[in-house]
Amino acid sequence: MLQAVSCNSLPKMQTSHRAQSQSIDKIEDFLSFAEANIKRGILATVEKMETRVYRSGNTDGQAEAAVAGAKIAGGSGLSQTYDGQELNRQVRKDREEKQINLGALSVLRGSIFTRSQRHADFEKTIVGG
Amino acid sequence: MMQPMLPGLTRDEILRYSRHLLIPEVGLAGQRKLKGSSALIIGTGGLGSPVALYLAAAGIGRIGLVDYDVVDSSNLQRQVIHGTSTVGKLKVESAKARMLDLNPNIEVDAYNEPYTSENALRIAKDYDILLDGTDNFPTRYLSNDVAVFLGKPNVYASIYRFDGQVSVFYAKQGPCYRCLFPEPPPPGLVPSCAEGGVLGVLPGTIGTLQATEALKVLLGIGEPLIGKLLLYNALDMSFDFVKLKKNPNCRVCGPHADIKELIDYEEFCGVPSHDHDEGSAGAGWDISALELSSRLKHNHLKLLDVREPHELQISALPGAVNIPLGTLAARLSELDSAEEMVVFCKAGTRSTRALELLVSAGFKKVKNLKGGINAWAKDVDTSLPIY
Repeated sequence: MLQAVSCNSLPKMQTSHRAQSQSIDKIEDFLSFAEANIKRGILATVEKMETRVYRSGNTDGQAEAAVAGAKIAGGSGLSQTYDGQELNRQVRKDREEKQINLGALSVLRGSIFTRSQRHADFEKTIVGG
Repeated sequence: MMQPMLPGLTRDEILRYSRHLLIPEVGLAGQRKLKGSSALIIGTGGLGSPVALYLAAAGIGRIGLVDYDVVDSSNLQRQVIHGTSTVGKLKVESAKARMLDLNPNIEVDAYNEPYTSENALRIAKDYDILLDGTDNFPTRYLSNDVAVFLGKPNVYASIYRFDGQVSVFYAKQGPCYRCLFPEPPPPGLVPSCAEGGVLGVLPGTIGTLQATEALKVLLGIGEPLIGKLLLYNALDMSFDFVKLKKNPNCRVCGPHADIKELIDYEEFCGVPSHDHDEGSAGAGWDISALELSSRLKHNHLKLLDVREPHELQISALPGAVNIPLGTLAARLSELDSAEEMVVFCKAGTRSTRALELLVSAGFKKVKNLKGGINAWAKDVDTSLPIY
């Protein structure tokens, strides 16, 4: 459920034919949906995560939900920042990942959209040994 | 952490470890430190194999192995400490024999038992360092909490398909595993290697890094991955590092920790402490392969295969409809909820999740093939391979 939204809906929003305001509305809908699900504990591993929307102008038809420096914060010395290119790279990568099991965590990897209090920008939780 | 009186090296040991002795950062003093050190390896599977081999070869004086599994031929694609000749034998005994063959100068303690809240502190307390090579969330949280309570470093690693992670969780100096993952993921969200597979060489890469970190910690050299998480991807051949911060609200290692003793980790994680891919939906929801075979002779039953398409090349049941678990939620409209249906996968784990999804969507006449198509291959059609 959440996964399908994270992986599929966002790229669809980013078609060049949509008006910017319409795209932003949809992006915000998406983010609200994701945030609500995170808060409901579906993404239990990141229950402390805050969700923020960073957006900038529409450039080449690619609606950008991002990301003038969405920064993984927390005062830990983390200094990874993301720009619009990084966002697009992440979105492409997420879109390529069809595995629904990991889809929920793709939202997460969507730390492009989020700002963690203390959690690192981990790719995904794995457990094999 | 180190013994106050370091053991000396014999003439034979000096020759054996000569390449270590030539390194200034190790030298004779460092090698004596290693000989006086001890390490507990939790799990002798994919990660535990290279860890045990390299720590034995490096001359760690005492190494403990915890595992209660037996060697299976499906392990040998990656668990290189074992061999064809040890299939069916206890993993800890198989590993111990190989380690002592590699280096008879060390001691190996074999614990052929599950690592549980009942025995973990007793087993771990006498070792200098713990290495987490487990394959499930309950044991990972247990390993972490034991390390925190005993004040020992926990060298963590995990693997999945092409991805690996390594860190050193040492609560005295940095974050613990719970600082990074305060809660386990919902049951079923994160697939295990038994469900999703793993590249055979991956645990070799990651386990070797894990062993490297253990040696650095024991020798007191370099910069161990304390407060850092290494993310490795074999396809990209990428190594990324993420800095981790100690969580001031950590329930185990934070200043206001409220978990002071080991808990029931299976209950905490909602899953059993093994990754054996043998799913059961529970009484009333399961159907055995033999029963299904019998019923198919007299009744029409729809067979729903929720495996990935590439798995159908390995084995398949005639007439089964393939809808991979990951797409099932979006394709429910293709199924008739009034029809009797049996869901299956490789061994029953994914089909159990599919059954839950179907039942929650209003399907009432559904059953789970217990043991999956592997059970069918074992009990009904032995011409099919088991994988």
